[in-house]
Amino acid sequence: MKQITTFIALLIIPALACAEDVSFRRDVAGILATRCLGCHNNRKSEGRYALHTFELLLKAGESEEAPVIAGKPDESYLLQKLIEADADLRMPAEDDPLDAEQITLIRKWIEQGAKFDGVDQTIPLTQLLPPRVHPDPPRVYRTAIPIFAMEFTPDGKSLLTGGWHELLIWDVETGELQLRVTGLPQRIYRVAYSPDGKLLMVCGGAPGEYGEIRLFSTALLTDISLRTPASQQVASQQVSAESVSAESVSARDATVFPTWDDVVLDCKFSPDGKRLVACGADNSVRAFDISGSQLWQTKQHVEWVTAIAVTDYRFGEARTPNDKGSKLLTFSEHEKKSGEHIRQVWDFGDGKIGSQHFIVRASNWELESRSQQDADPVLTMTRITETGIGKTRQVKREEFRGEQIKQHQEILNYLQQLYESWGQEIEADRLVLSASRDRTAKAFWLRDGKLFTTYKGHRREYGRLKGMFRLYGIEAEPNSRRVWSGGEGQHFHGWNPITVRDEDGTAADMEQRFSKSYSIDLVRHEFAAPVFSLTRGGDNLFAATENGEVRGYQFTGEGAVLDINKAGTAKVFAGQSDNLFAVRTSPNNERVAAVGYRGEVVIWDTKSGEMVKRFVAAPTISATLP
Amino acid sequence: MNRNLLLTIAATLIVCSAPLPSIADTTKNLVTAIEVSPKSIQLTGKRARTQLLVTGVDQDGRRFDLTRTATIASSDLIEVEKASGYVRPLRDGEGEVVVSYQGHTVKVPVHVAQAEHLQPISFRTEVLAVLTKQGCNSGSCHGKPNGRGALELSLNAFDPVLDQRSLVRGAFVRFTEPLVPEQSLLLKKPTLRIPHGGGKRLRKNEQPYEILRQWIEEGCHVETDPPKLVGIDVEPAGEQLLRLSQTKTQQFRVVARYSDGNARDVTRIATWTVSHEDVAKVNANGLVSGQRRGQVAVSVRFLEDVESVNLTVVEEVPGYQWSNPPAANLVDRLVHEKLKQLQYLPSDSCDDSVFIRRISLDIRGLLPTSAEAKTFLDDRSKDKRSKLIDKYLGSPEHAAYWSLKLADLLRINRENLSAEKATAFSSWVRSTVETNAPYDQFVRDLLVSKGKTSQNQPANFYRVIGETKMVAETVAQVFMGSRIMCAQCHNHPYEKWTQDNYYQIAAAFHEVDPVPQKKQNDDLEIKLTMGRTMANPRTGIVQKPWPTDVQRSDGEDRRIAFSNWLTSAKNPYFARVAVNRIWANLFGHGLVEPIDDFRSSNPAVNNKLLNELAAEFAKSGFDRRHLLRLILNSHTYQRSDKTNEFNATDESLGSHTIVRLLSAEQIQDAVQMLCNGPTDLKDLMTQQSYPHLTSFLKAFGQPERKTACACERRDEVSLDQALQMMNSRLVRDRVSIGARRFAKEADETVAEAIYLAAYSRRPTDREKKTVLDFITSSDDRNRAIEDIIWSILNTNEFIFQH
Repeated sequence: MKQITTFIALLIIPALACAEDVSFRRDVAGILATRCLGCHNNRKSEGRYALHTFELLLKAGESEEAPVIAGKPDESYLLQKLIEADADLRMPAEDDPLDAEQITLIRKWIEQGAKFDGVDQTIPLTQLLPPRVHPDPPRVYRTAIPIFAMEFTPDGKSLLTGGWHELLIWDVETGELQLRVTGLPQRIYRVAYSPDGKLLMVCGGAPGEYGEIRLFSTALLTDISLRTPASQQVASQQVSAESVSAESVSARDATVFPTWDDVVLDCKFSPDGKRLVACGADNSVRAFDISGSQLWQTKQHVEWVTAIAVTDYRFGEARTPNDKGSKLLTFSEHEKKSGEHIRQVWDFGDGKIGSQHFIVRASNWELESRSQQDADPVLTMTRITETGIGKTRQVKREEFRGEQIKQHQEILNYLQQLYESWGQEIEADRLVLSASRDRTAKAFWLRDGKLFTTYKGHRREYGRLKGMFRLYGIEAEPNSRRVWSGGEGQHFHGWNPITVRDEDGTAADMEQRFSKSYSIDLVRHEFAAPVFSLTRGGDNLFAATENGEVRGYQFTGEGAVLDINKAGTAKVFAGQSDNLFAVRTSPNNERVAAVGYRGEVVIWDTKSGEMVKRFVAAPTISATLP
Repeated sequence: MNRNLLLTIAATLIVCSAPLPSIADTTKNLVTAIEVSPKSIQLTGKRARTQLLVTGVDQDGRRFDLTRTATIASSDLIEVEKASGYVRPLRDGEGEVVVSYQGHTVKVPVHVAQAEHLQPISFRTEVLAVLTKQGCNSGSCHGKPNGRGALELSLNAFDPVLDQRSLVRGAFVRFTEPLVPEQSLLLKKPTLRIPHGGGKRLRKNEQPYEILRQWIEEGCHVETDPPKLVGIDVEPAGEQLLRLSQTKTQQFRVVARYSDGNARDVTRIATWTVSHEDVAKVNANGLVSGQRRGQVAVSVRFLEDVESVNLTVVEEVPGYQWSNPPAANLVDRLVHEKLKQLQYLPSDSCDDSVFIRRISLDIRGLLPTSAEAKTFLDDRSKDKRSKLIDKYLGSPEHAAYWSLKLADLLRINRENLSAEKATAFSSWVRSTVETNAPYDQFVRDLLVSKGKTSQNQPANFYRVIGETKMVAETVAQVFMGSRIMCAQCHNHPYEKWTQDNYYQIAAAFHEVDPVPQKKQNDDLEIKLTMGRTMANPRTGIVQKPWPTDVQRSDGEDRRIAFSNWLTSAKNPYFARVAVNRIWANLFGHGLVEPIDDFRSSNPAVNNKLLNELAAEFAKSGFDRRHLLRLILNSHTYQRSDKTNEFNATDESLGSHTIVRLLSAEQIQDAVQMLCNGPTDLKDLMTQQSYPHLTSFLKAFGQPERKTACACERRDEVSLDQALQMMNSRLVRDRVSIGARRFAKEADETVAEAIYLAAYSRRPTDREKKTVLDFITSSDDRNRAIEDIIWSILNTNEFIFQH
């Protein structure tokens, strides 16, 4: 008997020593997310039980049995289902049971009071999970991999490309691998520098599994003390003297933003560098503060949001009683009837007094002012005549420049005054632009994510632009109100979000009845396959396609032919093949690069179109791949 | 504890843990020989596999599967998976595989080459086969238009180009990770590492998973010019028998043949299905397990090819003894053969009153009049039944009723034709039944018709149906029993019909000019434009008209060759489908069900009977009346609906009559004839040229004739039907009229009058008494008779065919 007591005691003591606290977030949430969430979530709740939030986890389903009873694991229905002997009744349904360890963790958690160690019991389970710790990439890749993300460094001397759980940094001249940044998501879809060049943002994830954004200081790339030499990297296969590798540095301590349910496809900084916007395969568009907190999220799109951009300008508008305006203005019928007229301002720049470039409008007059270095600002005045309301609305624009402006000096003064007084005070905000596979582009207010307008021009049932085209790229034209979108189809569309919003539901929009189209600009490109990537570089719009074509089109001036039937003049960059996922320009616009499915970077001289460098962007056994 | 007790417990445990004696060890399964297939084994490469089949032959010459129980020895060359006969190579060399059972031995030569060489995975033949087998590209998942979750695959991999594009590069290379294949979404989701709406479809370390994983690891290569699949060979083939008393399982194997001369055992990557899971099940490895007696088709699909094997499962029914009833003709002979095989006993024959009522309803659509019934019941002659059959077959009512069935399929309704034109078209159809025109001639006349529809009635066939694709689908469904509409957009999911076949059949009819917007009163002309071609819209390739192997001369109406092919005595569909429809009309269910869904994967309940009847029909010159006579005179048709211990569960083999609800027109006419007495044919629904759509008839399933599907005439029972019989205006009106009719009878004879009119029989003494008491005890005689009639109308004996 004495022997038995000692024996039992020996069993208990180690057990007591191991009884550390089980954390719901660290230990349990992950199990539920991978093994249970598939059938018990907000869209599908088998047995009328869902556990996509902690709050719902505790609520009984069809069985009306309490899933979790604090302190009583054996009476908790959740655990009972996990340990069911009959495979037909056991959970997860029609799958292998949980590991013994996993079940023990859940049991212990319930035993210890089933406590919730998060902040909010109503937020999704997947957002409770602690940031992932990513595995190290192999020292050497046995094959090149598709590359979706690429960016030039601010000094234009290096090129960043996405790798397997890492960023790779290459010398642009030699194609040599300089540095590896590890601890990143499985796939990287975008890498972007902040406007001041001090932060680097990486977005990506694992398809169908998770999406992640990481933000870190560029000091990480220059601090030699943080690096691990190549020789210390773990190799899973024979490594020879010719192996291409380099030192690595880990981004495990980067700011990690709350996890997404699917990959993050694009991300951009706001021009002031304080916020960032992102979009992904979960159909959402989100904005974050660079400190890591989410500002807003919207799921207005019904399919993947593939590209995102932010306008260079901040936009503000208001309606003012007509008697507060100027007698110089001519109100439209609608304005006369309503007793109010429109005022709008576009502010290109950082909003301080003395802004370099602005546009201000009051009722039927608009003034655009572009400041130059040592000269008077360049002014353009436009008189807008708007007739009709709704279906019959028509807009005519007459421009005045240079000498012509003298005739309208009084209006000019009024408008300049208006900008300084009203234009600077109004809460002007940037627009976030998104392109989606749902064949629309949308604009949202940056401050709160409210939908500003939807551009449906890529989706037409009638007319010469007939077709339903998925979108893969969107760019705000610099110093312009125009936005460019593209993807499938034969055209880039240049449109003004404010005009699109105003035309929504009018004759211009009601194509079916009136066979008209939006007041948009079109550049017909001659690509034979859909455009997968758009980027702006200087005055140009660069595009890369599904079949290896790369071309550059000028936004304005001679090269921009805004005629639906005529192809815009393009500069052709030949030499790539297969799906291309990223086209980028160097900061001084002297270089343009493209990369894609084959994982091979090609760099061209922008002016001449000559290929200057080509290399496989993967750490390989030998410098050239089989 | 008592030591002896411990020993006893131990002993019991040991005995109980010993394997149960297998069925094969009983003396019942003594074999005189064993056979092994294939005759020699060739394994080239590490992933080569062969499924062996071992068959035993017993002293009665009966064959049964021994694959799981025979001893198959592994060697240093090959390894045999336990209890399955599945062989894989170990090392190069020549040798033998020794198979033995009960002392019999067969040595199979085996040649292994390149055993260390892991061949690259073939996208076309392995990856696509796996995606089909695991159900990934089925019509409810990724095989539907636009797919699911950004993965769009073609249905059953009929479009490898689309599949390649989707899998390798689709949605920004979403599905594969060549660097670390296990991290590919294509593998993580089906193994449920990530939630998957389609559930668990792959298991790690099993062949389908391994094939996909290796393919990704090799870089997702797709061969540019792969050898084409020429055909697949299933073994055992043809008609098979599974005797549950001998063995519960039958292993199958399938070999794929390619245009480069190579053959490959694809048993475990082909897709196995069965038509009736309650009769037999099949697992992913082609092992069929019998469940209970019956008929089942075992189908296997490998890429574009589908083959089916007809399997009869028989089991011993304790106490069963064949009663050896007489057989009147081939119908009985073959029905009895099947009943005996599956161990059912036929019921007795029905009595005379049931007989005359049944015959009259089935042949003429009408109740016998009381006079007819009385005459027949009192007739003492021995051959009165066959004489009655002949009489009814020659009646005008028969022609009208059976042409109504044809009119259903030809869609003669008031929407497409005016009353006058519908009547004219119907009359033509009726005349062909009246004169017993050969069925093949009738069909040919329809199919090659043209010209003014007022002068050439059969041309109304095209008027009613309209455009080419509808004509093709109608012709296929009505005369070939094939529902080819599925093949309009992709290859047929269950059968060998390809999308090209669909457009080949359509091409045969495409010379017929489109019928303009119909006005019912117009005298439309069906015109042809010779030489108009039809292309498969997906590929753009112009299709030769069906049948494609027949040379047509220039300017020849393409429909001629088609209808000659269709109505030829050798055509595999025409006679069988026609016989099946006639059988279904007489028995309430066809030998193939649904009656217009002939597929090798949908077996007949009695294939031999169907084939012989079809041959008889063709031999007779497609004489419908001859066929009817043959079936009606059989004992099988004349069985009672009363079941016995050994046939209560039979619903299709003909051991007894299955009770069924009368058709809508029959019910209305029955009510009419009971209540009004002998009626003018023009007032009877079973004799009409086109449907008179009333809510009463609709409740009982009258078709509007909008499609060619036999299913349009619904046979479901509904609450509406019960309410109609209880409360409808029609029934109430008729009941009053009926009361006036039978009021003329004396109290004592009312019962007999009504019963003879309603049931074609005389009432029993008890029934007579009930009726008499009811009448005499009521104040309102008329009302009482109304109630009696109403009650009789609402009995099963009245509205069911039994």
